[in-house]
Amino acid sequence: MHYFAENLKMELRLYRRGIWVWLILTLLLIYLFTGYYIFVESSFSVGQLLQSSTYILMAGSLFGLVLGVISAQRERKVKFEEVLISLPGDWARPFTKIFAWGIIVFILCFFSCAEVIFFYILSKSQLLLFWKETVAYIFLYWGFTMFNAGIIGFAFAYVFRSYFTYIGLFFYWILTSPYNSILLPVNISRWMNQGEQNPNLTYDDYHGLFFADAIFTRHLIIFFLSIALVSLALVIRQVKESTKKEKIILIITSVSTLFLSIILFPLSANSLMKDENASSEDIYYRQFQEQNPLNNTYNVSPTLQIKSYKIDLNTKNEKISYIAALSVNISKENYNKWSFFTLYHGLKVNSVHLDGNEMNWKQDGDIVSILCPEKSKGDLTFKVEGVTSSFNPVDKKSFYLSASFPWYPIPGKWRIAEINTDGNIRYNCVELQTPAYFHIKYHKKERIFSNLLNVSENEFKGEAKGVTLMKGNLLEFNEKGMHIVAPPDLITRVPILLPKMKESLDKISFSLKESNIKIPENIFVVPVEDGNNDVEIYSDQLVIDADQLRLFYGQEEKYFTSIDCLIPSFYLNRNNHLYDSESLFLALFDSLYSNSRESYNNKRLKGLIDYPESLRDKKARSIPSQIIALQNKISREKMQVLLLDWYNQLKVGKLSVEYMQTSLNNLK
Amino acid sequence: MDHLKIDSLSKSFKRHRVLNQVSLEIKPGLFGLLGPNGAGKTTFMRIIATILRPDEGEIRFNGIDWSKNPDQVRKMLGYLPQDFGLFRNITARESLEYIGSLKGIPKNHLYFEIKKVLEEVNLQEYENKKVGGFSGGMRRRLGIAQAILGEPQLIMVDEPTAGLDPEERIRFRNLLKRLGNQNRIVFLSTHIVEDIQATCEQIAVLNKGKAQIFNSTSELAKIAHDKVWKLTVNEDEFNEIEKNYKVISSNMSEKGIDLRILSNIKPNNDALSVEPSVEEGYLTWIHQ
Repeated sequence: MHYFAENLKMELRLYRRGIWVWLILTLLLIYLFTGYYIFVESSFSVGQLLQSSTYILMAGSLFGLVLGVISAQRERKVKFEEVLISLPGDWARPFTKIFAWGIIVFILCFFSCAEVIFFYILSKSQLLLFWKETVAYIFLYWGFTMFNAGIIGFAFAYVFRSYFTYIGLFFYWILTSPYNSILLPVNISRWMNQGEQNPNLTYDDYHGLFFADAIFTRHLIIFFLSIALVSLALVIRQVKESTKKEKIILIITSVSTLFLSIILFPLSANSLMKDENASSEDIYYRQFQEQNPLNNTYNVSPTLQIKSYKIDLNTKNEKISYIAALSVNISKENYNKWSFFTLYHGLKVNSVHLDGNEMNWKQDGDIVSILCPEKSKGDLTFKVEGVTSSFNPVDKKSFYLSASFPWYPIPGKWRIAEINTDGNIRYNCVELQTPAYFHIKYHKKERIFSNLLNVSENEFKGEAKGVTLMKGNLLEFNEKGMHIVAPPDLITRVPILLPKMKESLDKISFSLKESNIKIPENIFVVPVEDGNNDVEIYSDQLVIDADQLRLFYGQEEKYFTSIDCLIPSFYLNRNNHLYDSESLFLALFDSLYSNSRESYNNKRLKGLIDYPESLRDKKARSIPSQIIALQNKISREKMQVLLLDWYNQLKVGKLSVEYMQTSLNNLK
Repeated sequence: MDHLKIDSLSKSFKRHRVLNQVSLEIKPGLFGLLGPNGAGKTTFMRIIATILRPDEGEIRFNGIDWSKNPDQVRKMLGYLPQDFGLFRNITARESLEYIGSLKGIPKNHLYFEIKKVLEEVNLQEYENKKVGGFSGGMRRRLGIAQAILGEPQLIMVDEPTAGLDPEERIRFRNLLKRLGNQNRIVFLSTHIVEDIQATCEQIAVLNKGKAQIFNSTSELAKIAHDKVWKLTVNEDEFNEIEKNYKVISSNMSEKGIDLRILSNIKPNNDALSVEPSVEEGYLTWIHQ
């Protein structure tokens, strides 16, 4: 311990007296300052700053490697090594150096955290409530990467004394960076990458910064491998010849750390599976749609009436499990007949009981069929376990279980997702047909949020057509009859946005001769899948895409009050968008209603003429010019009638390009 | 005090045998290890300093076995290698504090110990100056200071005077002499005979992996007895003599060129047999 302390004192003194640590600290603090300023100016997202901090990670790794080399060669370069070897406690020196490097990394991370948190305070960001996450992120991604790089640099420089050391280290640097896919196959590059899986992604406010056990394990494996490498380096070091005892200890250290790395490897590979799941989800519904085309009458209304649900929910990493007790009424005509429930296929039913008696049941894809007994009512209990879709992501840190998604058995046979004409997967709203009474219990301490009434810690009750449960970087806001659940900073924007959105909706409703739309009291800012609208309205809740809200931070009305956002979300057929028809309809609507009543605004129509390829169907490309030509021939009122006619077709998903052509020809 | 006993020490690097069954017994005082460049002196010193491990042989001192207790050895050892430096950003005192702490000198003694050794090497004024600003000679002296810190029983200095100016060299020799008088073994390895002659009571000569001990410098000089000749020649004769004999020294004089020649036979009739020097004894031994 004495040798360790003395060596540590000297090593830290050398770091303190050298230029490198000060240089790194200065650069880091300046970079964070300018980075924070830029991100706050543009989107008020420090989360994005951290997530996009690839350059910090790479610079940290590079500095780590350089300082590792310096640390390993320090004594050798000044010709002090021989004297130190001849002194007692030389065995402790390499490990002291690693420990000292750990302290330096800790100090650098500490200052980074302090600066970022200081900025939170300065800009009154609600992210301050989640400061622990920021600290963990900086230490995990920047700190651990830098620390490991330092050890690797140390090990390399200890053994190799030529310039090849630098070539080897350069390769390590590239292979462990988020840009390593230029050199490695995808799966290997993902594993080797010590930073964000995709640094170009938009920061996910709902989920917060990306943490996974696999990321930590990956860093841990690199750490163990580094230690194994250092131990090996010490065995074969050139200046000192180790004793037998020393060699044995070093070889045992090397082998055991190598062994630990191998044991941990499967845990670190888990995250590679996630994307495969996402793509298999797409394939699943593509094949499903081939077998059950959209025009096919796939949906079947429920034959059982559900009075209430009692769900005891649990989550473990990406899995959820629960026991759902459904109080059901069975009519006589359904006795001894199969009754359908819709349940996402990733969730596997383990058993189904009615009042304790095992039922005859089967699960096929998204459908669970139950053979109804001759019993008028009872408690139907489902034991379920499995994973949800990318639409309802679940992981250790957060989850979003939507009221529109059948994560619990929904009576009836419903199509869960569709592949739109643009090829994107889109999730339908699969709610109950009639409200039921829900009683939900979540068996973990982390706070969750719901559209139902919170009766005690993570226990919710109430009547609804569906249940939304959310966990993550979220805050709650209750005021003026509104219940808003949203990520920090974004939550303050929602109450400002809603009146403006309502105003625009009223105008659109008036133009389309629809009754005014009431915005539900539950508003959730959530992750939304690409194929779905950025705003979705369910029976008792409004869902807003967190990414989009972030993108328009401070200028939300620019997008969320536009017809592009509101009309598809609130007025059109939610399922199976008709892209060309929709574009033409919106262009006509814009032409008629965005300017004063005296003139047309044809900017959008002209845009479609200038960029005809934005309409996929070639037959549709002549329509914009036909509309403009018609504006000079017929009255505005007639154009409005045309718009309403198209709207009535579009909202039921039946407005074809041919229909539009015909209706235009009829007006000429 | 016990003697340092080195018994049948051998060391090879790959297939090259650097030390071959070297056996020496060294008593307290200043001991010189002489040998030409590449003779294996540094390897020998590194083995004693526990940096390298011998392939064969045993080293013992005060009951401590080198192969079994290297850490014990390190506690009683002061070592100054041929190439020595210290961290440039650290002061002389901080460097010595670091080394002293590793040597296990108690904190309350360390301050005075450092003061003492810095005075010994005449660096007391530079105690708080960073080593980066030291001249080569000052660094060497600081090297000696670190080696003698904690009053080790065994001090090893490898080629300490290499690259020093004459004044520094003399100061260094005197310092080593003083250290040798303090009931400890001071092990001086060098290829400069002058250094040994001026300081050491015991000598060993190492050449081609073999070593021989001499109890005094005169014993080494005696090897050349009847083999050193003195004569004066003109320039033509000088060229002839240089071709056939080992010329040790040549000085211009009024009569011609005064030569000292190493030869088993009398080179010519004018040659006179003279008393050999240590250097001549050393040269005779390594050319045997």
